Parts: sequence; structure tokens; C-alpha cells
Amino acid sequence: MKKNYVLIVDDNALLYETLAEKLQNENFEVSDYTPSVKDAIASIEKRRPDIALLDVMLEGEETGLDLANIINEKYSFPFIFVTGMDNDYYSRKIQQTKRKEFVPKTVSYDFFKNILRSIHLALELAAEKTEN
Amino acid sequence: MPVQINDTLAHKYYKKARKFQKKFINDSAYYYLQKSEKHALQSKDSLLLSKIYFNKARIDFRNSDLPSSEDYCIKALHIAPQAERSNCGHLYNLLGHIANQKGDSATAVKYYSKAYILYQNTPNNTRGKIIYHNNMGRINYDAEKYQEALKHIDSILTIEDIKKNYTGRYAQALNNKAEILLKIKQPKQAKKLIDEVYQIYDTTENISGKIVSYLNYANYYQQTQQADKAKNYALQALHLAQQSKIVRSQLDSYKKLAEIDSLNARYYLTQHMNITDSIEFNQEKVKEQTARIRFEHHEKLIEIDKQKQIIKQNKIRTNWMLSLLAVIILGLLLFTRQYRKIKTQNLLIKKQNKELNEKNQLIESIYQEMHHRIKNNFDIINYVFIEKIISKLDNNFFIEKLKDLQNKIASMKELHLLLQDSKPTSTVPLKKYIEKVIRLANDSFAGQVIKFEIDIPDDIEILFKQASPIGLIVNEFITNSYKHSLKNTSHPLIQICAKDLGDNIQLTLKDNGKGLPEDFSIKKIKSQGIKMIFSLIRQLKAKIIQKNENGLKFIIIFPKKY
Repeated sequence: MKKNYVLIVDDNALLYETLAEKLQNENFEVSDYTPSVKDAIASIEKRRPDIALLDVMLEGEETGLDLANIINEKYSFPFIFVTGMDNDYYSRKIQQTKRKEFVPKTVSYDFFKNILRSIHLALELAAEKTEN
Repeated sequence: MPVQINDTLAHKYYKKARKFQKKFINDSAYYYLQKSEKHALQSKDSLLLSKIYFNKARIDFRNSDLPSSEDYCIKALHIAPQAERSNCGHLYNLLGHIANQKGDSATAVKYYSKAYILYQNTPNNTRGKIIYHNNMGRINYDAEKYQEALKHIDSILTIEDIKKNYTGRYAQALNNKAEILLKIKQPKQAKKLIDEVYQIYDTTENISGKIVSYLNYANYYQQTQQADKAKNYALQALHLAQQSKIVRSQLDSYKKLAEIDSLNARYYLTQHMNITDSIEFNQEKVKEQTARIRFEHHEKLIEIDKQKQIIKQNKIRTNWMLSLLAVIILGLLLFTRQYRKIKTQNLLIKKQNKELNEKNQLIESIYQEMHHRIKNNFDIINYVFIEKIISKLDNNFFIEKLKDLQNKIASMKELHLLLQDSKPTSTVPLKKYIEKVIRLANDSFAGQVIKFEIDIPDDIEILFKQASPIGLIVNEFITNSYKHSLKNTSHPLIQICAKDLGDNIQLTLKDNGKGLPEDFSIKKIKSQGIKMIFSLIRQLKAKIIQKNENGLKFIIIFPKKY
């Protein structure tokens, strides 16, 4: 069975480790530690992911929102916002980045199950789209 | 007076004065002479000044002010420029007249002679001759020195071409001679002259001259005892005088008639008196009137002058005031404009400042609030949630694990508190920070005692965002040492030192415990704590070297900025 490749973009190394380990246990391939937009783009160019998990606050000038816009313009793979920041300001911004095909969600780190569920949903939507 | 080409103010006034003088309006003439004098003095025009003084002298002479007249003559003489000295005959003549009026005929003669000499050297030398002999004749006639007088008259009559060039003067001279001849009882010669005079006046149609001729004939016939003829001529003279309204001749005629016609003398004298009375009366009136007119005219001139001065001054003053006012208004306008500009700018700045301050305060308060909440949340998690779980457990293994967890959370909270007061953009002094981390770690392991040696320079600073990972790494190291590495060591010791390597900082953590086994591979370690350290190393973009040196040793090199 083909393994899906997940790109995790987050500057918190501990969280990245935890998430990466969990996803690997769920039979996903996971990218290396990608703390900034610059690193993310480099990683995407090297290997196109099937889905990305984006944090908003990242290392460097650009945020996860900027990265989302770049992904929308240049590449076309689904992404999910995973962030501890759950407030109006960011949710509005996140809404602005959504494309019809892919639904970015704000999922907190608290419950890993939610994350998994969102990932699977997004991948299925993407698969349906390509079939049509 | 010859016309001056150069039309200065002095000359303008002089011309005006001469105009008045010719009309016998002497006061005005005098006034303008004064004005001309003032300007001529300023420009030091001595030629003009001598003329001015001469004319002043003339007016004074007419007003019978002999001393003043004499003064001015002398002044005129003194100031006349060298070149003009020879033309001062007229001045000496006037001095002569003055002297004569004073009764000093000797001095008069002296002056007339001087005048004559001066005239001799000028183009007017004939005229000068005539004037001289005329004057001399008159003096001698007044002194009844008839022979002398005749001599002078003859001098005039014998001048070349006098009859042609100076007909008037010639006739006058003839007249005078005739008069004298009659006086010295030489009627026949007198008659010849009288006829000649008559001819001259008749041909030139000179009426007053004719009247004089008639009176001459009357004189002659009176002398030669031909009273009727004399009366005839006298009457002719009278009629002509009346016709031509020459008052003086009328008087002369009446006088002559009274002499000739002694019978009607009273009548004639009455007529004479009437005229003189009326003349006198009129003269008085006219004198009064003219005096008044002159005076008023003079006053008016002075007044006009004054007014002009005042107007001039006022103009200047108003000009000054207006321009000053304009400047002031302009200044005020500019000032108010600037002022208003500055004021609005100030208000704007104040407003902006206020807004900024408010924003700052808001940010501050949010910041404080957030920290407080975080601190609270840490405490809640630690001492409410986890505590609850612990209380419900009875398995020591799990309880210990949960207590470890509590420690970690507690140290995270403390770290958070440590960093709370610093601003996210500022740096944290490494030594103080490590000391706090050690103290926190020690609190959790109250039962055991580890000695700490710290060797960190005071000036090493780390970034805000580096503090948390470093703090966790150090804490984890210490925990690991407490739990495993230094578990059975007799004199447990942890050494922490730091070094500034320019772009990087080197942090060394060492304990004197068991260390790790020889074939140790970092990747294979199961300890969560150690795993965490490596994650954090990755976050710091640091390098870590692990060594066994009588204990566990970590050398961490991390960049100052990333």
C-alpha cells in the first residue's frame, strides 16, 4: 500500500517529534523538521507531499498563512492548519486561504485523533477531485 | 535784465520778483527776492546775488529806506564776481542817487564819476556817458550852477549820432538846456531848442513830450512877455493833458496858467488843488488798498509756503505710517498663519502621541493578562488536574511518572515566569538564567543534594527564543543526572560552563557519574528526556557532542542568532 507523505511545518521541535512519531505509527511518511516557510518550499521542491500540516507561527518573517497562499498558487495539494492559536484573528485569515477543493481546518494538538481524521478526509477529497 | 539760460530755483524766484517789480508790486517783489536770495546763497551764485541785492536796494530806495538801500548796494558791490566788477555802473549810480537824496552832493558826484568810469569800459559806454552828464547836470541845476549844468548837457548833445540812437534822451537834454537858457535869460537860443524839441516829439507822436513842448513855448512866451501866446500854449498843454488823462501834465499846465494868467490864478490854483486833493485822496486810498493787497498777497504767499511744507511733511509721515502698517499687518498675517500651522501640527502630534500611548498601554495590559493566565493555567494543570489523577492512583510507578510530569510543568512555568519580565526582542543573561534553572531543578529533588559548579561569564547573553529550549535542556540534564547518572555517586557534582566563540556559544554540561556505555548511540537511547534534548538541539540549530569523561559530558554549540 502506498504511503502518504505528510509535510509538517512547525518551529516547535518537541511538537514536531511527537506528531511525526504518531503519524509514522499510523503508516504515514513524514518530512524532516521544517521550521520555516523557506525550509518548507525547499522540501516541497524536493518531494511533493500528499498533504501538509501547517502551524501559523513559524520561524522567520513569513507565516503559515503566507505558505498557504503559496501552496494555493503554485502547488496543489491539500493542507490543514494545526495550531494552538485558536482566536478570531487567525481563523478569519485562515478562511481567506481556503480553496474550494481543499478545506483547511483549524485542529488543535490536543487530540491527535482529530488530526488524523482531518488528514484522512482531506486526502479522500483530493482523490475524488482528481478522479473527476 | 538779461535772461538766464540756467533755470534753477533761485533764478525762477528772481524772474518772478522782477515781474512784480516792473508792476511796482514791491512787497511781493521783495518777498521773491528773499526766496531767490536763500537759494542763491545755497548754490553760491554770486552773480545772481549781486543782482538780487541791487534790486532790493532799488525797492528800498523807492520806499525811501535810504540806509537799507545803501547797505544793499554795498553788499551787491562786494559780492559781485571779479569779472562783473566793471558792470557795476548802475550800482554806483544808485549810490549817487542815495547820496543826493541825503543832500550830500559831493559824494553823489564821486559816485556818478565812478559809474561813468566803469561804463566807459563797457559796451554801454554811451549810455553811461549820457546818464553821467544827466546826473551831473541835475546836481548842478539843483545847486543853481547853470553854467556847469549847461556844460554837462552840451556833453550829451555832442555825442555822436545821439539824435539817431538816443532820441528820447536827446530831446530831454534839449529840453533841459532850453529850460536853463530861459532861466539865464537867453530866450532866442532857447526858442531854437524848443522848436527842435517840438519837432522831435511831433514826429515821434510822443504826447507827453508834446505837452512838455507846449509848456516850453508857454515858458518862452512868458519870458518874452507875450502873455497871450503863453496862455494859449499853456491851455493847449492842458487840453492835451486832459485828453490823454496825464494827471501830472495837467498839474503842470494849471500851475503854468496860474503864473501866466494872474487874474484867473485862483481859479487855476483851485483846479490844481482839486486834482492834487483828489490825487492825494486817491493816492491815499490807492496806497492803502495797494498796501493792503500787497500785504495780503505777501501773507498768502507765506501761508501757501507753510501749507506746502506741512503737506510735504504729512505726506512723508503718512507714507511712513502706511508702509509701517503694511509691514506690521503682513508680519501679523504671516505670524498668525505660522502660529495656526504650528498649532494644528502640535494638536495632530499630541493626538498621535495619545493614540500611541493608549495602544502601548493596551498592549502592556494584554501582555500582563496573558502571562497571568498562562501562569494560572500551568498551576491548574499541575496542581488540579494532575494532582487529582495522582490522588486517585495507588500505583507508585504511575505516581512517580506523574510527579515527573508535574516537575516538568512546574519548571516550564518557572521558566515562563523568568522570561515574563523581559521583552521578546531583548536578550537574557545566560548566567543568571542557568542559576535559576538549577534552583528550580533542585527544588524538585529535595531529598538529594548535588553540588553545582558554574563557570559562565557575566556578559554572555542569549536570545529570548533560545531561553526556553536551553532551560529545558539543562533541566533535563539535571533530572537525568539525579535519576540515573549520579544515582549512586558519592560526591555528586555537576559542572556547567559556557564560552563565547564569536558567532556561537559553547555550553558544556558535565557530571561525575557513571556516564554512558562505550557502544552508546544517541539514536538508540530510550530515555524520553534525552530524546527531548535532541529535539531541542535541532530547534536551536545547535551541535551536540557527547563524551564520556569520568561521567556524562555534553558539549553544545549553538549559534548566537538564527
